[in-house]
Amino acid sequence: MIQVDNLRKSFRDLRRGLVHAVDEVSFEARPGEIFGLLGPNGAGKTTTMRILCTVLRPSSGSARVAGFDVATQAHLVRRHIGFMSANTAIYDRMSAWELVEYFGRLHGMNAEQLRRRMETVFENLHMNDFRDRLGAKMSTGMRQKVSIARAIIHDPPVLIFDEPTAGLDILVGRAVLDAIVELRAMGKCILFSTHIMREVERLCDRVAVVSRGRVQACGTLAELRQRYEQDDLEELFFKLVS
Amino acid sequence: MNEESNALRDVEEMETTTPRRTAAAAPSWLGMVRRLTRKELNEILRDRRTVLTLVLMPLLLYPLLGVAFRAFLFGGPTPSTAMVYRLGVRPDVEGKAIKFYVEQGQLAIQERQPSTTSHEPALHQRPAPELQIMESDDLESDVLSERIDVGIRVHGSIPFDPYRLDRELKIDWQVLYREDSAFGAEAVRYLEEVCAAANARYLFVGLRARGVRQREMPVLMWPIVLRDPHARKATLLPVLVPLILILMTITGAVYPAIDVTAGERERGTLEILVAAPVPRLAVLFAKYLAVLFVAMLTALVNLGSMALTLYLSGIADKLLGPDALSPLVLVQVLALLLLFAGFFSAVLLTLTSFARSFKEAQSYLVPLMLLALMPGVLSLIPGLHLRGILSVVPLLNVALLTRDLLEGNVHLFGALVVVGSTLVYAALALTLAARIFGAEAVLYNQSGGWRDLLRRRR
Repeated sequence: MIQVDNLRKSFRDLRRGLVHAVDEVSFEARPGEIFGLLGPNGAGKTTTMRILCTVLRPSSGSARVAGFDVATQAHLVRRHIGFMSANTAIYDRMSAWELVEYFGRLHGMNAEQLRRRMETVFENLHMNDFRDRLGAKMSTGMRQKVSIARAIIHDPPVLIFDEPTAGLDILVGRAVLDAIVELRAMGKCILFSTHIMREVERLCDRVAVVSRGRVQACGTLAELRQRYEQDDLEELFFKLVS
Repeated sequence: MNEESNALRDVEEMETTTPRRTAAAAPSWLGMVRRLTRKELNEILRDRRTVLTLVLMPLLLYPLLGVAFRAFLFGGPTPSTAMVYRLGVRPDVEGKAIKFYVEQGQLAIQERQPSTTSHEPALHQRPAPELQIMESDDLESDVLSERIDVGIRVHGSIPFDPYRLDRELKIDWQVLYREDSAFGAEAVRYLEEVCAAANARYLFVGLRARGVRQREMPVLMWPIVLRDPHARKATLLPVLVPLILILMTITGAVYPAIDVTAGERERGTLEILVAAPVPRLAVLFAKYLAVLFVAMLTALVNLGSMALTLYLSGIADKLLGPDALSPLVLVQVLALLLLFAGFFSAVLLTLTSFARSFKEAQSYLVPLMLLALMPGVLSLIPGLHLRGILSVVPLLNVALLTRDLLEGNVHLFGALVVVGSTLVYAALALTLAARIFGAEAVLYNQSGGWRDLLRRRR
């Protein structure tokens, strides 16, 4: 469902010259799986995800999402993904219902389909209490739920979550993780980035540990523990990135 | 072929693993732009600051400007009231003589035709000023304390006796007024006129006593103002109106332009929009239409409020003529404002698309606003006509064309050049905005080179 081969993204920085934010990254994520991108801040996780969302263009290498090339078939990729990150916000002057409806329509859903789907999504995410509330008046948890609803409204087969629990309190963070587990149960291919070990242990079927733009190791947690002879995930992570 | 089969396999796999998938057809480009525009407009119009700028400001501004304009033009709240200057003289023979001489001058002015007085400009509908002559023991302190506007005393010791025609009259008046008093300066100018008229009358009486037949004013000037029957009154108003309207249109468009580009980027909503299956050109075009709509709405409210103020206050009739603000002229001015708003909205979007934050966008717009003011101020220069290179100078050409329109003095070719060149500029600005909007370097605040700013995904 997601196939990344030797992906590279370089930026020209005025001070540092040519910088490789993502350097020859390769991995594969399958349907019904949560694939974790684990790495410290600045490792290249977000840049990789932005390329997969077609927001950034890769400098070299290739990536296919739902069978479509991110460089040459960006518009098709966008129709088959749902993207959410800790940095993405919602519109302050739109209600939850209006915002989700707006993105559903941008994905080409017709009114009747969209209404039915919205009722289901709002019910499942317990959003009916604040469906008519404006974004500016929502709590962080409500906003995050709206972002999830916005990402899944068109029922995409691939979901990309970039540190979705960053900055959330424990209750809202848990609700977000529960929602992601449910989406996996529905057969979605989920790419999930984080630097929180507990989230990785709880959610991810397979992980790629990323550091300085490169994949340092890739596999299931059991495989990585066995390969590097380290049971403690935090120690394992520290060993790989340092 | 291999790529296609891979894609198909993935899609098949996707269909089997996601049974609740909803079928979605790609909406048309225009439909998408319509949806995006509607959303942008909803967002903009739900913002109280925008609505305040849009509606409340013009409703308050123009009546206030109307009052100020009347006060400036007519010198007071009612044009029928005469100016009254307080003139101080000493309470003795000298004072009486000055009073007599001044009264003779005023009488001489009154007896002449009103058109010969230089004190009254063409626009002044006010009657001739009056002098309230007051006695003062200490002229200097009374002037300084503003008890009187101006004081006159005789300089020297020659007794002043205007009844004696048999000897040479040689008197110097000292006229005292406050340095910072515009009213006092105005009174002195009037007194100079009065004194000149009294002098002429004195000479006339002297000559008559000596048997010389000569009228009081040997040469009288009779100004005859000629006017093009097709042109309206040439005043400052046709220049000020476009300038104010242009400024207000700019004011209305600035905040929405920043909000929908740099503001959206700063708030973090732009990323989800560019990750949606919408061409970025459609996103930008929708934003352009939304800003244009708000700019036009601002222009319409401003034009309406200004026209109503000018009409109800009577300024339009007096300064522009009775048919200057006809519905046709208003529609033409509105069309020009649409043209201007189309151009300026594109320029605004170019700059704000380039900005990475609200603050940065504001800092870019300050020089732009100053730059936009310059052509407007230039159009105040008398004798500047919509010809040659001026027809293609952005903003200035629109300001001059609006002025000509209000003066009823439009040439078709010049107007077409203005419209054509402004449309070209708008298209160029929009093209540049399309290159910049959503460029990776701007979207993610990279400190790369200039070329990176033009690299944008479709």
